Amino acid sequence: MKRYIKESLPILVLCGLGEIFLTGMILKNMSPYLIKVIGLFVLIPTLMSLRGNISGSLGSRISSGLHQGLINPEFEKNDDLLNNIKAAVLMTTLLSFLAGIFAYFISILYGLTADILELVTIAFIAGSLAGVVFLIFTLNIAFFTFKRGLDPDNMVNPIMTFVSDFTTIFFIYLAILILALI
Amino acid sequence: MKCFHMTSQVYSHRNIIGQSVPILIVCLLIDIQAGIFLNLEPNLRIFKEWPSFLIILPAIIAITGNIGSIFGSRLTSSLYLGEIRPRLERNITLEKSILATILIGTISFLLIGLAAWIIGRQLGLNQPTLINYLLITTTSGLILTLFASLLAISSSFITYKKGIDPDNIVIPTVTSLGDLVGVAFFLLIIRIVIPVV
Repeated sequence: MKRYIKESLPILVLCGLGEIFLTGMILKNMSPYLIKVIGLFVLIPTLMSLRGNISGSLGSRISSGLHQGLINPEFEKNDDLLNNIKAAVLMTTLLSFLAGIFAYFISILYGLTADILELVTIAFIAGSLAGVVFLIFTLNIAFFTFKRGLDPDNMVNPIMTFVSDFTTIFFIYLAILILALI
Repeated sequence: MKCFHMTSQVYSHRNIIGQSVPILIVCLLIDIQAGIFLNLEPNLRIFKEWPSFLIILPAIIAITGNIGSIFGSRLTSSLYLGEIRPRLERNITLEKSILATILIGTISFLLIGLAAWIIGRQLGLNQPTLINYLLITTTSGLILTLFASLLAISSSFITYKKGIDPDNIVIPTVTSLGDLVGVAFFLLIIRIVIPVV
């Protein structure tokens, strides 16, 4: 129990600080767009959690694979590893696109006059780019914790959530700035 | 050529996608609901008037999800090790884990609230008094930790009993429901503590 608290508390607080300093700050800077682009706020928790969900389960599968000896902690031609990567990339692009579509229709149901092209473009660009960047990070961190013999349950998830949220919000901001230029 | 990997292959991308996509779509819809809450006019006004709540929002959502998933994986391991059984009964290991989780949650939210308030002050943002701010973050934290724990317990018990791979189900469900409830309670408690908004 002491190990549980000692391992989780510092990492939760550290990741929380990271969320405030990076993710929260970008969100604050984005606030004019949150009001201007209707439905943008809908995409924020959606894309963040999509990223976290896909990579979180990828990370756990890789960890299990490492512990069972199916996967080695390095980038090599391994079918179990490649199939996991393939699945993650396919799901990221498909579901980012769907996130935009669903966000639009549900916003309309609530009387929010969103623009479908705007939402789908932001969701697809931000979701896919963040997904691919974050995939590489996920694999590295899974390999790293395995090599060091750290308990992935307590360590991997909070760090991943933090980096995933930051990556997602960064690419959402980037996608908005690109759209604003066009 | 590493042909031996062919025979040892356990993960096929079709299986992973087939098992993950339905739950990911469910989670997507839950999170869109959370986003709708944030985007509704009265709530948008809260963030416009008090930007320091915007700074802490990702941290609140993330910590709730993290607590749920850390506790969820811990429970799943305990179930497989036979330390606990998948039913509601008095069990020292389970009770101690719940207490430790509540402690971890409350302390994290208190410290994060303090940090965010100090940053807001440094940036000169319009924000409530420290007491009110900490009251909002810690109360939200306590409720959300309890909620995340309940969610982790029920989802890990269900997946264990049904023999579904918990990696693909427990974590996504816990984080997405955590997002929705997190956003809802956070906004509700802001309104209770600062009634003028």
